[in-house]
Amino acid sequence: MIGVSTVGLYVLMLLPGAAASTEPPMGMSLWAVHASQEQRPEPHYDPELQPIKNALADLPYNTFHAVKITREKLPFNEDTRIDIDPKYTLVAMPLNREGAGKVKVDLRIEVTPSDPGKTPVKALQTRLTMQSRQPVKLRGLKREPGELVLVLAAD
Amino acid sequence: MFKNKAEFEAEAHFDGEAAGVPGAEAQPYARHLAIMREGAREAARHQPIADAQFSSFMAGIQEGIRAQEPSGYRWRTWASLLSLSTAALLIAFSAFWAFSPAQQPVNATVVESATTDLEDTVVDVYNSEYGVTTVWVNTAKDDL
Repeated sequence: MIGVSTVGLYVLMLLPGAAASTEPPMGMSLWAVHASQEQRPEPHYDPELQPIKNALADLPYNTFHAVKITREKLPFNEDTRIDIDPKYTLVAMPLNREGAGKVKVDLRIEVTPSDPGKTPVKALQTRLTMQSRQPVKLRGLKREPGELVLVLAAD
Repeated sequence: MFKNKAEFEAEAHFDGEAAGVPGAEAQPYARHLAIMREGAREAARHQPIADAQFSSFMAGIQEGIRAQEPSGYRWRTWASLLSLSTAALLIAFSAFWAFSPAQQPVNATVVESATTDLEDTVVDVYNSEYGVTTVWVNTAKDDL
């Protein structure tokens, strides 16, 4: 006979909140890069950007400076805000693991409003399934001269 | 056409208009006429093939056809059919491989959705040269 306590345990296991609380946080590395075009014979990459040099190689720029490099632990089903610079903020929320090193994540890049009372504008809202150690590049964020590029990699 | 005397003589004997045996000079022409008459009789003779005889009749024809085939004919026929089939299969597989859309690697990052609230801006998704999934906020004007 199945006892009431057993049924209760199953119910608790099925609750999303219970599952989220047991899920270890997702590790994610972030490189924020300022890419620009300058007068120089050879492309320049800051030394800290060597691990992601290939990810930046296709961009139409020859100068890449690190703006922010960090590694974050992102709890599941919670927003984690990462300030990139005074203008942009990355908001990341891992949703669930999909097996074989895959994690479904919601990412949002907000533009800080000039008026503090206004709501931030979403420059990008995306949902993607990240594969462990496979970089993802978010680009097209204006930062004169050139643009701001974010490279993300799940652990 | 002019006929000589021996031929007239042979024809007369052949038609029974003259008695006795044709002379030695008329003998070859008389034999020639006899062969022609026999041939005409054979041609006029109509011998139908009964249903029971038909299979044997066809078997005889096929045997005759096979007898005329050069040695190794059937093997060469099968070999050519086999090579044609192989070539057709190769072409079909090549076309399938060439025209089917590129398969995304199993371990690639998958972008389910990507939107923006910025005006005059679209979001593009592509894989770069090194297979890095890229989400591009593509702004037409200096909106950001």
